[in-house]
Amino acid sequence: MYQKTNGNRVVYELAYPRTATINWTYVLEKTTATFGVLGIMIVVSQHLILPVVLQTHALRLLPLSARLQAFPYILLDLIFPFMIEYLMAWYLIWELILNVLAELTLFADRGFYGPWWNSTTWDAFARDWNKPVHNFLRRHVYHSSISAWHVSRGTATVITFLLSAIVHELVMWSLFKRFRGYLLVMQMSQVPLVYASRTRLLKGRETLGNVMFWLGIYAGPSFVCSLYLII
Amino acid sequence: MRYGSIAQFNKFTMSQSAPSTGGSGASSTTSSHTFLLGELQTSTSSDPPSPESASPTSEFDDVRLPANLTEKPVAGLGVGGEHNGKKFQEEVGRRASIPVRLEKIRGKEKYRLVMDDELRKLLVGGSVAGGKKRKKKFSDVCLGLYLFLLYEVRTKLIVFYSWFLRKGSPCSTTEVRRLLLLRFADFTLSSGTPTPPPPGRPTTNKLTSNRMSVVILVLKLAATSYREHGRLFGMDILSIMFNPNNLIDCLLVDATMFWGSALWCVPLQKAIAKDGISWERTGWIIQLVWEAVYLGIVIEYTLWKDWPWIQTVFIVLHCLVMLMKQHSYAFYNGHLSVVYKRLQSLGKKLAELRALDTHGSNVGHHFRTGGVDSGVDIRGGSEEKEELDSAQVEDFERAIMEEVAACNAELSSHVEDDKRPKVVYPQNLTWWNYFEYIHFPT
Repeated sequence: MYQKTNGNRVVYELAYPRTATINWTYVLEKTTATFGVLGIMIVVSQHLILPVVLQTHALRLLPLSARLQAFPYILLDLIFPFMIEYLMAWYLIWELILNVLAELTLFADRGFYGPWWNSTTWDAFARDWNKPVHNFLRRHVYHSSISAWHVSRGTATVITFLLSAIVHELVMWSLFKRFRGYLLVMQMSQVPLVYASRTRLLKGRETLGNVMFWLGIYAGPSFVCSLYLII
Repeated sequence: MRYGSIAQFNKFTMSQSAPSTGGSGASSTTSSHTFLLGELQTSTSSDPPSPESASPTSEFDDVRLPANLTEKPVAGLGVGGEHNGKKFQEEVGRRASIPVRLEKIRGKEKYRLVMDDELRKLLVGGSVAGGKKRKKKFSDVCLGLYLFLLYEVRTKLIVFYSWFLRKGSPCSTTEVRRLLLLRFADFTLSSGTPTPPPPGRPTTNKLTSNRMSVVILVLKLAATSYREHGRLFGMDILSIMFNPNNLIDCLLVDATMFWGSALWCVPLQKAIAKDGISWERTGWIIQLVWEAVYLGIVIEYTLWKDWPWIQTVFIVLHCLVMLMKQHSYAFYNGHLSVVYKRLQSLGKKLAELRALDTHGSNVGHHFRTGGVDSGVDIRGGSEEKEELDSAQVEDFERAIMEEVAACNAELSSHVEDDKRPKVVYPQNLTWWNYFEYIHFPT
């Protein structure tokens, strides 16, 4: 019924692999790095993102056409700081905080992420960048929906993506207090992209796939956030 | 094939001697830093030089260029060519030659390195087996050159890092070349002490240049801020983040949400294990309702308090994590409770069956199949003819034993190389187990 999986999980197990002792030097190193990275994130958002956000608050009073005209520039202003924040946030959580926590709780399985930066397709990225949640979704959404509703694997994939997108939209709503669905649409568009990457045109072209992937990573977060902020 | 020294050859029309395979051939000459780029088009080349590649020598004014250039079949020029032209000529004999030439762009100082298509293909990993000539395209050439430079720089950097940091086994250029196939960031990040990286793989932390760029960016921001506001870092965001009213409130909510979840999850699972609540019928519905209420309360609270976005996002994300943990805890244990019940009913059936067998009841005994929770499918056949002979009883016994073994395997923990005793299902439903579980970075 449930697939046995290896690796770390946000999922419950009867027992987990454990370490014998705590390496305090390691804890210290990672904790220091945590505060360092947090500091950089704060500086970047203070100096590069906040001014743009304040600018968009002023823009909201203008008519839609004027806002649309300003949109590309807002987007360009946000791309770089968002990229930095995105990478930093990922590094902060999956490399630093989770590892500190694992070391302190004597938790041995440290596979929190895979080499997602080499992803050539979006499904590889979804698998690799957040392994605990990926394992959770795989076990409790993907396989459960297959066993409970007897749906095909493709449908189960769509259900999984949809649930994840709805949860992300919920976070966006609590953040911006605006229900727009931009992120939902963007995230669901990954499903056709995954299928597109399996076509003859794109299959086996790893460098091209990787370039497309990084383009998406660069443009995606800033694009969505500018949409939420302006329109 | 030395990218670093292109500037030194910028006055020659050259054809570059290239190995037949990109990876291994190139590394054979890595130790020597003689540059073989100064060669003119050779007679051994399979491709006749195109008119542009031979003609523009006249507009270059290098004194070292021999006057009788066109008569010489092979002319060693440039840095490498001057030092060991002989060795170079031998190499030329062995290898196919691929023309690379420099074009002058308006004026004396700027030159442009132009490479043949074939070399480009070679560099991006394609084979040169097919001798078909493609039309030269400038963008192709530039792309190839760019990728090649990227590849070379990265190879060198990684060799240097692995030596410099002494992390992992020191590796040769060849190995690195094999490992790297033009990936943009093929670096293994350090992932904690207990999982060592695979052997033979160069391990570096995140690219040092990335770190440097971040440091430089922060310095730049500090400088700009100082010029405009007279202070290094204006931290408005910090004051939002650590506003004491919100901060204490936020931490309290977080703690309640985090540890408080135990008050729901553990008793529910204990009740299910003791057969107070059936997981399959009501348990999972109660659990889902609880999850919806939990999420609703937390989000409603953030709205009611009207927190700034940092607190809101933190609490909402942590709430989602806790939700996933609770869901996983409940559904896994719920599933195990079903398995556990099946195991118990199977045990009952087995005892019944053995009782039959010892009685030696060949005379025909009614054996009703399938209790509520027992595995129905394995005894499907017995419904048709309800009489069992001893051979059939043995078959069923074996089938039930297999099922029991499968259930037992599912109910106990699977950790490889574990010296601790195995954890079996109902024993794990303790407060401490849940407490540990929510603290694990899962």
